[in-house]
Amino acid sequence: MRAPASEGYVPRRERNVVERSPAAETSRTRFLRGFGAMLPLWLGAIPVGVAYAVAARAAGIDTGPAQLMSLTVFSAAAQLSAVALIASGAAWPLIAGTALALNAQALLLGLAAARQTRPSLPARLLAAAFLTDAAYAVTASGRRFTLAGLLGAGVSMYLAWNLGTALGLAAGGALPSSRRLGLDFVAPLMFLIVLVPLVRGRAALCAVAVAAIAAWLLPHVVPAGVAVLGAGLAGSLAGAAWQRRDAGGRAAAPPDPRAVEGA
Amino acid sequence: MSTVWITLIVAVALYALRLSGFVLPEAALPRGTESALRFVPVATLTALIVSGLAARPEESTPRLLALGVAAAIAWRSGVAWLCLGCGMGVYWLARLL
Repeated sequence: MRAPASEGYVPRRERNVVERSPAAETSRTRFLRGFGAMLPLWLGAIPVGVAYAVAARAAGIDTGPAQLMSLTVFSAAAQLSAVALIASGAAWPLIAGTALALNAQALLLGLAAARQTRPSLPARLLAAAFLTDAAYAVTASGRRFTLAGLLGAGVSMYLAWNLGTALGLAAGGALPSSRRLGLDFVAPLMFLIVLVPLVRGRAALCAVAVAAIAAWLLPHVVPAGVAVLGAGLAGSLAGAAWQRRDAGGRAAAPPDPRAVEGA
Repeated sequence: MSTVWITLIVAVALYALRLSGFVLPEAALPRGTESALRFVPVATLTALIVSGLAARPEESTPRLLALGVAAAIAWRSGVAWLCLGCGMGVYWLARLL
């Protein structure tokens, strides 16, 4: 991995400011501050990484591919849904579609981050790789929103996530038969843990209710993977409709820093 | 298709999604879309939990109990490993009874 806070990622405008004012912090300092600000969240991310590893092994996925997924996908919800769907034999478009749906918010986070920092193209390409809800929330709660800070927080979470995965995979061999232990239940529990902090306000509750009913009914008429995506779509449309109906709609709250990685 | 290929496809799709916010002009997203996008993860997570329950009807009672306990703990504390530990504990206990 390249040194993520090198000069190349600092917009020219900011670079001049740094040169003129010795008191101004470098992007290296910002990166390290973002990295450090994420450290308390390692306590949450590592056990989730372990849980993902256990769920992946329970789904019959080998150690190498399971770690590869943490290294390349880097999203708890997407990875847990992927291993559950792979185990149920779903086709790849459904697996990718579900992963995208679970991370739909990343589009909004990227828009917000780009608006606040106006980064260069290489900086955008790099920052996008490590963008998660938690990194955004930690950076937004700091003194100043900088791209170097966002990157530091993201890289920090990336290390924690992969460390947790590696620990879970290493411990996996010591576990007795995952089927008898019902370890496939780890995935739905993790979905719930990611979900609860996100449910704030009546519109979100409405989205949950509609999605739950649709997910209960749809499998009777369509395959399971399609049902999940359809229920997700129905729920989000219902939530959006409820919010529009609410007089003016209060400004949506920023992502919760408590939320675990990558919801 | 092998797990590795599926992993790489998901990785590329997610990277494209994460990058899209950084490179799209702000005007690209109509207001209504923005509001709906906020609820997609919430609704999809719910759908995944419910479809997981529906797929294992013989285990629905212990799983519902465990999900209820885990939800209460997640609501009060937000500590992931505590929710997970208690959820699995309740699930195993309820399966024994």
